Amino acid sequence: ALLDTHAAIRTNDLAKVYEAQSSFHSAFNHTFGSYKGNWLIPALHVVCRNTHKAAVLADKAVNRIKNTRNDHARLHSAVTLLQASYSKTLNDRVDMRRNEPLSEDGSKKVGVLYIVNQLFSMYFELNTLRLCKNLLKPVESRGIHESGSIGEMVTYRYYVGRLNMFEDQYDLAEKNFDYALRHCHKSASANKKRILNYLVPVKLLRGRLPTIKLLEKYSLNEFLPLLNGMRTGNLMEFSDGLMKNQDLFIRRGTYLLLEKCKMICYRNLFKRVYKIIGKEQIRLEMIARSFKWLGMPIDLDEVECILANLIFKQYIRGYLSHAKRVLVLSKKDPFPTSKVIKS
Amino acid sequence: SSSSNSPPANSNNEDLAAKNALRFAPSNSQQEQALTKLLPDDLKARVGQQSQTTERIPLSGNNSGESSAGDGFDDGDDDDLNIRNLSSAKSLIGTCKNMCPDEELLRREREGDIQLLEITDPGGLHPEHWTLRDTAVKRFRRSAADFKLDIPELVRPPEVLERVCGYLEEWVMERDRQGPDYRFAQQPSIVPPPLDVYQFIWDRTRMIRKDFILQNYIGNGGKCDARAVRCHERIARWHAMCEHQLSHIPDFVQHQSQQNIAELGQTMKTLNLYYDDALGRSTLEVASEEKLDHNQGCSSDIVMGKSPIDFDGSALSNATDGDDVSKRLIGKHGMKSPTRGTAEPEMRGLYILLTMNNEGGMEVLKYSGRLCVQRPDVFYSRPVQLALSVFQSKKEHNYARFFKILRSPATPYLYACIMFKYVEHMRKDALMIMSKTYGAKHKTTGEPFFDSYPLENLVELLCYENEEEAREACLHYGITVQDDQVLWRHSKFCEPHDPVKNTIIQLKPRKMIRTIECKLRVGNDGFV
Repeated sequence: ALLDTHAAIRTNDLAKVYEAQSSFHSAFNHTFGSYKGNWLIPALHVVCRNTHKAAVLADKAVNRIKNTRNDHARLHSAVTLLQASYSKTLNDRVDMRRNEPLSEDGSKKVGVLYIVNQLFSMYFELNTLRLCKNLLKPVESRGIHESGSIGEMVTYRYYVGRLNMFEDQYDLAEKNFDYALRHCHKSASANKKRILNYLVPVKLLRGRLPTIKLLEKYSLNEFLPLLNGMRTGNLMEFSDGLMKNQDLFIRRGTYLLLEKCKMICYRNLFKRVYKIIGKEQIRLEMIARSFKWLGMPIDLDEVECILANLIFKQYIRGYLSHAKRVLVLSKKDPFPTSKVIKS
Repeated sequence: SSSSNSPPANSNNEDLAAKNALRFAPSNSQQEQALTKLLPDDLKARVGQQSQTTERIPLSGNNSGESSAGDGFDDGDDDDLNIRNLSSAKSLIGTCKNMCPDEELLRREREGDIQLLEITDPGGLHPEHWTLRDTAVKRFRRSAADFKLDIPELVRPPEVLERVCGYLEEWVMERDRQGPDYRFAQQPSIVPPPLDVYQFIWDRTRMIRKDFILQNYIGNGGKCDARAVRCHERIARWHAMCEHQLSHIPDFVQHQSQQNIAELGQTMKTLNLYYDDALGRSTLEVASEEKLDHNQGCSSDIVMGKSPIDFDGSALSNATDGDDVSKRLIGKHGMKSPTRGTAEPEMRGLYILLTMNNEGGMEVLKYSGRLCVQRPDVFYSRPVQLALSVFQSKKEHNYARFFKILRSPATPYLYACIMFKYVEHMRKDALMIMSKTYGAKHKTTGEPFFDSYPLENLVELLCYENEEEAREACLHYGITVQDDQVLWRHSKFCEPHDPVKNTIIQLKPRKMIRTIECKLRVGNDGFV
């Protein structure tokens, strides 16, 4: 079957390649299961990776021919193959002993994490994220994610971080991405960038701004106007920057998160006004004026509304007086630093 | 014997239809003859003939129109020779030239199943020479094992479907606001009840949409042209309008509104398919066989009969001239429009407003993201940008902005009707936020101070109808109002809870005459 795959490659017909690979993988799964020990794991991993790749390429080719965008039949079928591989590794009765060389007595469980990562990647591509959750429980309950190669562990944390974001669990996401970034291999800058694509927005929401150097080092230019806008409270720059790369952020799924950072923009803008005026009581007219300077004229009712939202979310400590059209700030720490902010 | 049964408390579709049907006891031959008299001459000759049951027996041959593949009419021999190839299947072409197929009309007349709103009144409500053929409209029916829909004789082609739209708009849609209708003389109310008119129009427009689907008007992979788009847009506008116009009827709000929104959603889904047609046929005008009026099915620019008077007594404009008539996309002025009377930007914007809550806002983002890339001209159009600004203000809990947009004369009536769906949510947000952020409590005594807010300001800010409604809302949410001042910190905001059903008691906003209906009174800008 492996030879068939190679033959198919030579025909340049990607759909055929996938078909051949698929039969091969299926046969391999079967074989893998019948041998004792875990010495075939590296080979299994290669097979899984190739199946994944072949499926993606085949789907792309078919879509190009049919002029559609949504045919993922091959990737779906590849998922089934990898799920079979996964279950063969996970359900091995032999106990896992860490850091032992591969042998005939070893547990197949050491191969789980890599396959789980491949499956995560496929689920994200297919947008079937709920299936990811089915993988989390068995892996974490057996502690599989805590051993294995650094590469596997980093990748695992990366995907779990992305899942966290999907469920608005930004604290957890930050922890997972932090770990991934810290342990990522020094030279793997493409992977580091991938992690940062998600870590930067999460940190931005917590009010932790990246340095310009960091953004430039990893070509994260899409975040530059956002960073500047937030730092100086320049709403226009922030909004424009968000709109310019709207498409990119939506595709990554970070748009809504970044939108929330607008609040921090407002907060910083008002903090500057406060610093300039120097008093605890700020006339709403002053704040309206700051909007005018930014080129976004606004009426007092809307100023009250925006301030009320910030106070409600605890970005500002104080209260409003409608009768006096005034914002009264708390004497102590009116603009709490971001550590205190609940996301 | 007659139809005046009092309607059950929870009227569902079937009950309302039954209530409306003019049911004659078979023994009453005088009433029977009354209906038969209204039939056109050629059909009168067929009364009493054995029913042809064409609805049940498949037609022989393909004399008129082509059958869709796989409908069971194919010659069995073909199966042996060819594998049915769906891509070479031909679309059904309807051949029914009337608003209601003859078979159905005969059957319904025989069974006395003609609804009040379809009864012809020659010389009265209708012109002298009219018969049932001019007033009966094909009813909605699902296909069933013993009843096939995809028979050419029963399906109306697009020109006819446009005419049905025109007929419904000019002769039926406003019946609930045109005073006494003597066809309803035996009913509890001689003015047609709004829900009856709603039910009728919904049913008939649903069948219009179905006839399009039966003829494969599905955009990519099927057919698409301006007529289908226009019809669906007109139907969509009607659904949107009903959401607000009938909001003063509790029965509508509690039982029909959800379905109304769902039907609107379905209509918009089809429209999206048309606009996304890879061949760009949504503005394609097809030359009709019979060169009828090029008025997109409209025979007139005004509603027929008495000029409608709104539910609150104000007169509605029904003039043949004026700005709003000459700017119309539909009707004789509509043919001037470069988009053949279609309004994609308006409808795309409407779709955005409709789906603001879907997938936590992601649906709108993805939808508008695609528009931005694939149709920038539509994305940057005024209607779409307006809809997006509403979306933005809702997401940011910017209630001041939301209501500012709602009240603005630049916001069209129809958009305001859909924004109405979100009004209560925005008001609740506002009250919740304001109750925690205006004024403060004394550190030691707990006395609130500086928390007063004039009630009339709240009425303006959140577009309440009047102070009474604002007061009622504050009461509902546990907020203290003293005389003409809201005192935000004197009590806590909370949502009332029904202990028996264990649900939150929702507050329904009153119909917004002051803010939304008023847009019909003044000459509104609209999207030209």
